[in-house]
Amino acid sequence: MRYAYFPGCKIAHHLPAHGMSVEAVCDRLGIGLERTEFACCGYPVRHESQDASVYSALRGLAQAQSMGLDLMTPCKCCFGNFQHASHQVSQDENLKLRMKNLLDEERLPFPETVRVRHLLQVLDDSLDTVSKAVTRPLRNLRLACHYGCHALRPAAVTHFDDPLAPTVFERVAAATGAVPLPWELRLECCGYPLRGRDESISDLLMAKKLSGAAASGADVLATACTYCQLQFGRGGGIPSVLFPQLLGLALGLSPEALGLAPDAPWLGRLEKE
Amino acid sequence: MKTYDVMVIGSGFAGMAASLFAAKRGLSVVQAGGTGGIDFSTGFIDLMAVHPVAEQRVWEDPFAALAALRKDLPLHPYAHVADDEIGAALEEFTAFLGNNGLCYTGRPGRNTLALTSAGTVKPTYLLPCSAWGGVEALEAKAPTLLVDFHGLKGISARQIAEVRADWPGLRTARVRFPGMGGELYPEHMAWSMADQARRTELAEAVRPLLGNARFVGFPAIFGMTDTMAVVGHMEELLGRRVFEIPTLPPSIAGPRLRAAFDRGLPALGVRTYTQKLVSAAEVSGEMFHFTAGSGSTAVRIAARGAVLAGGRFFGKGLKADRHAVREAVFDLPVRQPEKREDWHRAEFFDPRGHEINQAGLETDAALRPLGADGQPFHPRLHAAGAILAHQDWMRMKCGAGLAIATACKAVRELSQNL
Amino acid sequence: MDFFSAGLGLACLSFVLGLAWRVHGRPGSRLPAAPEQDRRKSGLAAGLADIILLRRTLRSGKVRWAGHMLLILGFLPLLVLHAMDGIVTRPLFSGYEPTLEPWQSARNILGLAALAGLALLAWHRGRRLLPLSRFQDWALPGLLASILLTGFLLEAAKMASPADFERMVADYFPEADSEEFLALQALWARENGVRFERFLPTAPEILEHGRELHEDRCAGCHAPTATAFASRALADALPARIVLPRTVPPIFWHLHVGLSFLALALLPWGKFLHPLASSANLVARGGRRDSGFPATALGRNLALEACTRCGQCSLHCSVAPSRRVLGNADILPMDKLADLRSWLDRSLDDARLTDLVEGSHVCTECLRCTQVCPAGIDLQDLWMSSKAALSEEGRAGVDGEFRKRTAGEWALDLGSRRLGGVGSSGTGLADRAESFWGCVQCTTCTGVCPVVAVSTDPQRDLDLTPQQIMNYLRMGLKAQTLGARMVWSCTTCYKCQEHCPQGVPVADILYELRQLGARTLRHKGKP
Repeated sequence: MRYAYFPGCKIAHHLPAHGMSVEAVCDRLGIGLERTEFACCGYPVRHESQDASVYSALRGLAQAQSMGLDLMTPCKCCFGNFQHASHQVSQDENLKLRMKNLLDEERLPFPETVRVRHLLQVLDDSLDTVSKAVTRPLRNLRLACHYGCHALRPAAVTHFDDPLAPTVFERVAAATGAVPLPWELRLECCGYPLRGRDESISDLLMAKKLSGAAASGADVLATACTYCQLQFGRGGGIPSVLFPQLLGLALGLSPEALGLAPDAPWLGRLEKE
Repeated sequence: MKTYDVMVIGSGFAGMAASLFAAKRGLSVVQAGGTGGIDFSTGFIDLMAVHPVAEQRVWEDPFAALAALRKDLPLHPYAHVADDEIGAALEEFTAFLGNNGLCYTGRPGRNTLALTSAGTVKPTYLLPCSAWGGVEALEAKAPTLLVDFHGLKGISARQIAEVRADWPGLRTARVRFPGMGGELYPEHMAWSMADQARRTELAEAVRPLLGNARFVGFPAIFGMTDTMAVVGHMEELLGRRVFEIPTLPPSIAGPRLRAAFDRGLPALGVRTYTQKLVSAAEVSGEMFHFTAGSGSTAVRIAARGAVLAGGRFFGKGLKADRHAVREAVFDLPVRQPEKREDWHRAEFFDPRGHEINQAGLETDAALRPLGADGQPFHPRLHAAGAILAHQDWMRMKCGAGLAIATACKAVRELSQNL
Repeated sequence: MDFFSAGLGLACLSFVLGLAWRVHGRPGSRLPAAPEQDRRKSGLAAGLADIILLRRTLRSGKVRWAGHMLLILGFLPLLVLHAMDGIVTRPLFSGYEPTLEPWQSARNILGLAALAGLALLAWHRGRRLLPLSRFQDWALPGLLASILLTGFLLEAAKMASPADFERMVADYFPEADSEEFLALQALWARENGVRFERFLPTAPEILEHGRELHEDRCAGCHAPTATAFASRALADALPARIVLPRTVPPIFWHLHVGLSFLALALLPWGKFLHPLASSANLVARGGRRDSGFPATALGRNLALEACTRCGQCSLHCSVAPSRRVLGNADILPMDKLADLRSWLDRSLDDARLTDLVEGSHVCTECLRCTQVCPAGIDLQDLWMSSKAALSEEGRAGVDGEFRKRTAGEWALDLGSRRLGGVGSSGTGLADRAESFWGCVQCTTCTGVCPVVAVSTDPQRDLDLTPQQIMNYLRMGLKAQTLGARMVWSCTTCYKCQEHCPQGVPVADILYELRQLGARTLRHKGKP
């Protein structure tokens, strides 16, 4: 399976380990990643302009369609905005026309056939392959899987999983041999969207999630979105780890190849090889 | 595309019960529905309490009431479900809730009068354990302190005390909720009660007011999950029995039930499509094909059998325009008053209720909804819950019990045909 | 004082003063302070390689690299060995005369190379960078080209000028009699392209005589002018009957020298400084292509001056689509950098400052412009530090503007204006009655909102809760809601919309309100 790979703006400078681990894991699993120069998905600018946000997203989709591939992203905000844009143009003929004109000027097709997938969905699609490729099951590692918001809701637009009772993250996490634990706040927002806007509320939301995850007894809070990881990476208490990094360890890759500090305390929970 | 044994249409009491019973019987279950009705639940599980509605006669023995009901109203859906099945269904349902953090209790074979936030009492069969202390206090007319909070709408301790003039031992107090000011919302208060420090603060605020009270009643805010642990801690801190009174809907009873279902049903293997309403259905001899949701995110579901438990108007199982009532998924014939003018009686509070409240789907003895020809629409389509005709669940006080019982029967009948 | 000394003096003065003004420490002081970092000695070689090989330029395009290489390889030697021949070439090479070989052919080759380089760069700018180009982007290559062209023209004019010939004979062969003079003339007319008024003989013996005299008196300083092949071609291209008046060579000389002084004088201004400034920055960056955020004040100063206005950053910018929709040039790095510099200089007007702030906030800090910049500017560091600096000065974007006043104040202000519809089509959800038909004010949206949950007093912290906002909107009272904190502190988690039992698109509507707020601010004061 090959995908047009959409890392999103925040990986290059702010979280290069995410890009590293996604690419390493996909390489090991035989998931082909085609790269091209994408622009921003349009999620951040949605606060200021619907047209800018929708156009940014459709442009990315158009590029993927021109490559003849579905689009895969490891960031849930990117995923969500692509879905929102598609939904909005289906609801508003005037918007659709404006977008078509903008795309025409760049000689890009209006995206009709391209699908957007989040990394978790891609892994879920081929769970058998993942399980078979695991060489070092993360047996003692208890996870609090954090779903975050923008892929999950509103489900009528994002079509990611059941919005009130999702299971995809735990299912994929269990394939690594780790133990996903139930915890009440797993579907709550990490608070990153309020960074630079309302820092105090962002801090409160982050703290709530971290303490909830810690109270569940998990060793690690698992994230599957660049923004969520940036948020939890600030906090204290329970360590927050990107799921591609966890999966990479289970696939036998070294912590360094995945952007992990080899002396992270929680690594000690894993069975020695 | 996977073909399921049972498609459950609806995520309210009937839908959840149907999913539970079907999954427990080893059937593959898929469920779609929205949070229409259940978020407005009081949390009480009514079985049968008032009959005849016009006389507002309240029964202490729900099964005796059922017997009378079946005799007087042979078309009522309860006529199709036997007492022992009803009892077993309720047991299984509450056991499931108990396993998922929501404890229920009651007196077998007896209705209980429970306190409401308006100060009235309503007869019900099973209550959340966190409300049981209120029953005991009420019955014993024990010295009790009722506490409410500045800024919390939907409950007034003073009003309760005034309405219950027959309970002289009832005192009231209003305190500040620790850590929150201005307008309060029960769900947020409940989440904050998960914090031990908050509970201690609350106890500190209430302790000086206790006096000789043996019971302390609060609005229902004691946690969203594992309420009994929170109540237990409060009892420890106050040294008194503590109980909850549900606030006006939407109270947190609904979200508590939802959370229990969301935890427990996927664990039983039920495939859930929450917040997706079934928008279309195609029927062939062997198979149902449903479309849930709409637009680009619609899903196609194939199932061999189906339980239609979409609820009434708020649940979107029935749709009314100004002229007629339609059933939302299959467009089944809906029993309704012949003329529009007959929907409602002249007085809103007419004790007989209104004809429109008894509209709904008519079924055979196996709870299969009837088609235009008076025969079951499909051998493997069943209906359960408030969508059924010939029942007035609000006035009869039979809502949740009816939903659970008919769901159980529907699943049992359906499973025999799969 | 003659033209040359005066011109050189003024040009040098302008250069020194301008440079001093340009690099005096103003920018760094307004950006958040960064601690001193250790100098990366190992990066020096990489930095030098970046300069000498123009490695970063090569990465951004072969045409630009080739154009620059030709220009630099042509122009620098001309600058050092020709313009500064008095202090460089003459002391180093005994017997140097500019009219000797290899200097003549060298000058021509180098001049042509430089012109070819400029042609490539101009062609590239015309094809790819036209919308981004301003006056100075054409002025620099234009000025350089005119220096080179006037140089060729000057050399050609001197070759063809009879007056120059007469002057040279008067200086170096005053005793020539008329026959010798004629012979020399004939030779020079024939072989070196001089255009005399009168017709000159071409008989072999006269030419031979001339050649002897030339060998004796001229050749010590003059190689055949044909070695200056380009200028010679120009001289030969003069139409047959034209004889250059004596004033022409001096005109070209003044032009050539004057333009050169002009270039020197203008060197500190705008992008004219980039040969020096970008080189300095490349050394400072030591080959790094990621960001060194937070950078030192010195690093930032160099970075701010090093922009060559090549436009590569803007061509690859991740938020270029937003620029197309919103029309703000400051969304793209090249113009944003220029306005940032002006802001740091406190010379940016308010309208442009608004553009700069919007550009600052639309930027997603994706690092691409930094990776692409041929001058090695750490743009990422500038964007991140300037965003913070702008916020410190009260310019924190749309969100920050709305938080400056209370909801009530905004309601009063906006209530008297025509706000227009929400959504870009003006027919968004918040303006449509159908969106609210289902709302029964059940407060479920408020009950699930995590922002309300962490507030200890929603009225105080958020002004209005979600269901209250829905209530206002279904009465058409947008202005009353736009300033509410809830709108701006919504964390976009969509729980409200997901849980609403009646399908009211609460979160989408809150987005529309923010978009309307942004649009309202953008048009504030404009008709």
